[in-house]
Amino acid sequence: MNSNNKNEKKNQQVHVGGGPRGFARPKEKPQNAKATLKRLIKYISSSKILLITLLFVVVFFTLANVFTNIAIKNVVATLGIYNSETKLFTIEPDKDEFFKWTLILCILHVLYCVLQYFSSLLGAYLSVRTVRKLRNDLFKKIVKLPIAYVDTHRHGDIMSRMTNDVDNIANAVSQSITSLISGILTLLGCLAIMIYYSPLLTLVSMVVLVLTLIVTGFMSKHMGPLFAKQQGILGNLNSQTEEMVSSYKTVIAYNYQEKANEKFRQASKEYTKVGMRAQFIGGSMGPVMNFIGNVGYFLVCLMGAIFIYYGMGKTLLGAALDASIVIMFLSTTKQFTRPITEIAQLYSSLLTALAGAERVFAVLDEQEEDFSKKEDFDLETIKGDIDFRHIAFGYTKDKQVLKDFNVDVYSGHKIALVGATGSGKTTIVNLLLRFYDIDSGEIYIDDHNIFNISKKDLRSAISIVLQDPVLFSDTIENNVRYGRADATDEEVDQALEFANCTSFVSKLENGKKTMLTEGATNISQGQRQLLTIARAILANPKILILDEATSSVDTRTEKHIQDAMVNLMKNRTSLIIAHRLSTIQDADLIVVIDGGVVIEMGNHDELIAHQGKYYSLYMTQFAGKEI
Amino acid sequence: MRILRYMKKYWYIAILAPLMMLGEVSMDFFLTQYMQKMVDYGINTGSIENVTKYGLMMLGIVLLGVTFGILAGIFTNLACFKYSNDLRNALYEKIMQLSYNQADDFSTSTLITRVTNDVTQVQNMLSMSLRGLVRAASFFILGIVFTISISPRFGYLILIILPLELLIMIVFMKTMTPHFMSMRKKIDNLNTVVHENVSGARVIKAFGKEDYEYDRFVATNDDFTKTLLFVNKAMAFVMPLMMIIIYGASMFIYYYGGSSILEAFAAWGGIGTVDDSNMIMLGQITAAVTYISMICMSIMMLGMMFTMVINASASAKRINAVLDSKIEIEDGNLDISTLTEAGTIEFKNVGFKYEKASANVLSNMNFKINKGEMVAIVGSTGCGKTSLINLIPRFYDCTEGEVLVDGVNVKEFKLFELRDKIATCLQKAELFKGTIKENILWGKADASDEEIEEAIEISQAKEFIDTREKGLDEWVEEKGTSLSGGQKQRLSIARALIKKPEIIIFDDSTSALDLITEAKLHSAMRKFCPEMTKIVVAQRVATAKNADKIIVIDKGSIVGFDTHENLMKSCDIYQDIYNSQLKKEDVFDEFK
Repeated sequence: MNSNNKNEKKNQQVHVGGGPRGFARPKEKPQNAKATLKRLIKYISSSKILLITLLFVVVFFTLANVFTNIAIKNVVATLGIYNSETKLFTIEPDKDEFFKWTLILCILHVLYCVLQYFSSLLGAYLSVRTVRKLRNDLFKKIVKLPIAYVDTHRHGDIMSRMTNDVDNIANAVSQSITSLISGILTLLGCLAIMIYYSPLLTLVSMVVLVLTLIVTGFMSKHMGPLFAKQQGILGNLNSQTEEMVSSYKTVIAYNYQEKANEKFRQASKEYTKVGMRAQFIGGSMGPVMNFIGNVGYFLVCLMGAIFIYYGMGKTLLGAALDASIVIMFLSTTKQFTRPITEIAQLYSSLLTALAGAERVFAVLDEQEEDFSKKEDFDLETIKGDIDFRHIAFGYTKDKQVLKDFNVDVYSGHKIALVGATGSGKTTIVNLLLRFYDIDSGEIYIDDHNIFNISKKDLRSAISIVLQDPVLFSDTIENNVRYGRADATDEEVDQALEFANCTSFVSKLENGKKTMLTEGATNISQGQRQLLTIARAILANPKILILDEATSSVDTRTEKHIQDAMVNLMKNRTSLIIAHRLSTIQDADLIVVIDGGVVIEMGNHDELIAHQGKYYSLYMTQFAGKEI
Repeated sequence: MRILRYMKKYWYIAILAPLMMLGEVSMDFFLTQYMQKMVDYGINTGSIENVTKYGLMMLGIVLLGVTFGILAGIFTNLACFKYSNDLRNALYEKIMQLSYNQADDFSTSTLITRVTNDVTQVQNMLSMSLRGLVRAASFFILGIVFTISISPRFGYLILIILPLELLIMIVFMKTMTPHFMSMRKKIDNLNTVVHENVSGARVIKAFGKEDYEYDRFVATNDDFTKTLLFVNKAMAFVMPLMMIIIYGASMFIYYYGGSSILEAFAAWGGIGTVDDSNMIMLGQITAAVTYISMICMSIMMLGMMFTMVINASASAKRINAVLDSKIEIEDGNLDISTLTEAGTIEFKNVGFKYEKASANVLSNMNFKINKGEMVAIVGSTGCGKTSLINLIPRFYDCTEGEVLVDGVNVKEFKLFELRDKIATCLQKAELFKGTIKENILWGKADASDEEIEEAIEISQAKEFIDTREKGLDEWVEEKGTSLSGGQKQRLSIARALIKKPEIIIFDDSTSALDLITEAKLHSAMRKFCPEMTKIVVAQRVATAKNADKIIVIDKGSIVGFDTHENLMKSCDIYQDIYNSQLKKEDVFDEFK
């Protein structure tokens, strides 16, 4: 729960740029159980030898367990029958046979324990291996998914596939397989020896089986909806808590505490009511199952005694029923009903696992980004001209973000995109990097249409610095080196120096070897931004994109960063998106976007002279003029 | 376990539950005992009267057992649910009373898990203890009693195997706990990598680092897998180990009991009656084996329960930490009808230090704001702007000097009445699940439609609300995720305005608005709310420039409090800020 909240919170900071988001999570039932199961089995069978050995071991340890019953029966039988009233032996004990069967029982017990150990061990290996492979494959896929997928799916959702769903699969693999096989074998084995020793008494035991089936059926039918309801109300209660507590400051500021308390008490009361009702049935499950077991115990005991008295219920070989057989039935009756309740539980956990597997496979089936190329793209020789020609694009079909976007950028120039939120500035970045593909029009870098070159080549020519600095939980050094792994130490130092990082990095305890925490919470926002600039400097791209790179720091800190940026932008084509116009006044070209089209273009002085949209923006921002 | 204080009200139920459980377990033992009698005195003596007698007894025992069992379940649930309901409400109410300071200390995300997860943990633990723990303990004790009742010599057997089982249990738990912990940490590591990759996807792709990230993940995954495998292997080992001890014990019983029969038989030699004084009969042997395995199972149950109790006690501690925290910001006793001023704010020698900080955030603040004035606060990030305004509605209490509202120290107000005078708009506009209208009505529950219209008009929210299909009835998702940042801010401003407060505070709450909209907002505010005292924390000089007065803060001190024109003449830092936003070229010249 904790980590989930954390993720939810972080998701909102993520830079999306206006795409559609949020698909509801499917219900907890696999859509196509059969196909998913097949595929899952395929995954598991990649460790074939392990799987087959496991199956063998399970068969043997189940057999050992079944035969134990016969051994116990014989141990008891060889002790004869002693009548405590007449104080005489009705049947005399047989010493040699007794010791023989005691020894056999002993061996079976040891064998059972050893085999059980191996089966758990193999099960563990199998599940751990399967899951490791599944996780790796899943991650490999996630890393290669197009941005559109990441933008349109909740991050918590993607994360939960990696954690919850895969965990459920792991449980199913390690437990369900062995339990299922040994359960069915135990059932059949017990039934066989019971019928062998007394078909009539077996019928009595069947009563238990029938009762178990009825109760399990009844419970799962009535409990399911009640528990679902309980979960639903709990979810409601939790989301209410989350909403109010995370917006705690607003609640306090508006004197809303009492109302919030009242709402919470209501929800909690409702949850208590439904929860008690659900748990009334759920809590009775244990005692009722115990009751059924006891009924069986009682019936076998009583009917066994009556059968013996009247000489009924002979074995298949015609021998008389005796106490040892009744005693054996006491334990076999228990053993052969246990798998039924187990299988009922397994079934639901298997369903959960399959539903999880389905979600995991759904990700694995997603289209990966295409990295193929039609043209070579030599990073060394390109100049960095960018030409946007008649670009039209919408994240959804019904809403166009860019309509007819035309801009020609000369290499080495600094161009700035200006416009209101939602005007499509970030979209242009998404298109240039081919995070999304345009609906119509063309983008050229030098004389290469970017659709003909590999995305990998394209992106290595470009570096981006985003509004929310993305850093990784690694050392500062490795974070800076992210753009160019083979950079020398001197080059790293130089990049840090250029980006004005040296002063704060040297103050950290371990200098550039300092580990950043997740989200780099151990340094300030401004410092994070400086590091991303250092990273971009080291990557030494031909084209640079600054997407609101300084908007989350105040203007005086910005000045500090600005100096680093000036260093960064030297000799490159730079594309700057900015809220604050102060950042972009010296750009070679300022492009004002509104409603998906370019409405003004020119340098600062030209646009001021033009007295259009840019002029009015500038005046409100700088001169503080009223409109 | 002070956490149990909320159980007091339900003590009678809480006592009945374990009693019923004890009853259910005893019935299990009696059932086995009557089985033994059935075998030894019914079947093997061929007495049909005994068979019927014991049969009827068994039936009674079975029925009694299930009754006890179901009652135990009902009482347990009754107690646990009622208890956790009280606990949850108390916790929630307490959270709502925490000061900002305390809430920051706990952090909202852990407060949420305390209500959602920890309460459930404690509830589960309680129901487990009332049922499982009592059940296991009953099995344990009754098992020993019944075994010894068959033959005191089996007592020695228990003396050997019990410590052995317990020892294995303890050693296992002791050695495994650190591994469980490290496993949890490694899962976190795994999640971190995935999360970084999902949220940083753009950067990873832009740098073409897909393969690098994959390698990083595989390394993390392998690290985790190794620990996971180790833990699984250990578990695979310990279960058969415990089983083999149980089997060993049962083998001993078969052997010992069997030998006693064989000895009696040998001593008998076929003459007269058998001396059965030292003989353990067939039914008894079977019963003893059952008892012993019940005892051993109860130990395993106790072991599992133990881990649960440990987990839950961590939860209980977290809940207690909240429940035990003192109320930091307390009500004063002021009768507000005695106030002589309205809408004024005055800081007298105010200093403020966060509890755990070593230095003051604010020091020696002196200023007075009159009714209806608009005052802007400017300064670089971290200079103390937000800290300053937080002192006015007593989100925090100042640590030196005094803050006066309407001429009276804020500490003398009743909190509700003080905060009723003030509306605060935060930079991160927090909205709630519900319609736009419901969100606005947060400010004033009984506002008329005209008042809503006015509020959304001034806050510049009308324009976008009108484009919505359902207008004011448009649904807002949790935390307002369906709206853009600017829209959220405008709604939160409307929510503040509808309250018609004496004092309105904007804590950088227009940062996502474009400049034209922001300018419109401020001019509308000046026009329609002239009597409202307005405090505006601003990033943009353009916003501040038109205020009646501007407070310039640097490193926690006021370095200027005047109009824009005067500050431009007198205040270096203000000029600095102004220039950094306005005349960039000049700034660069200065730097050169």
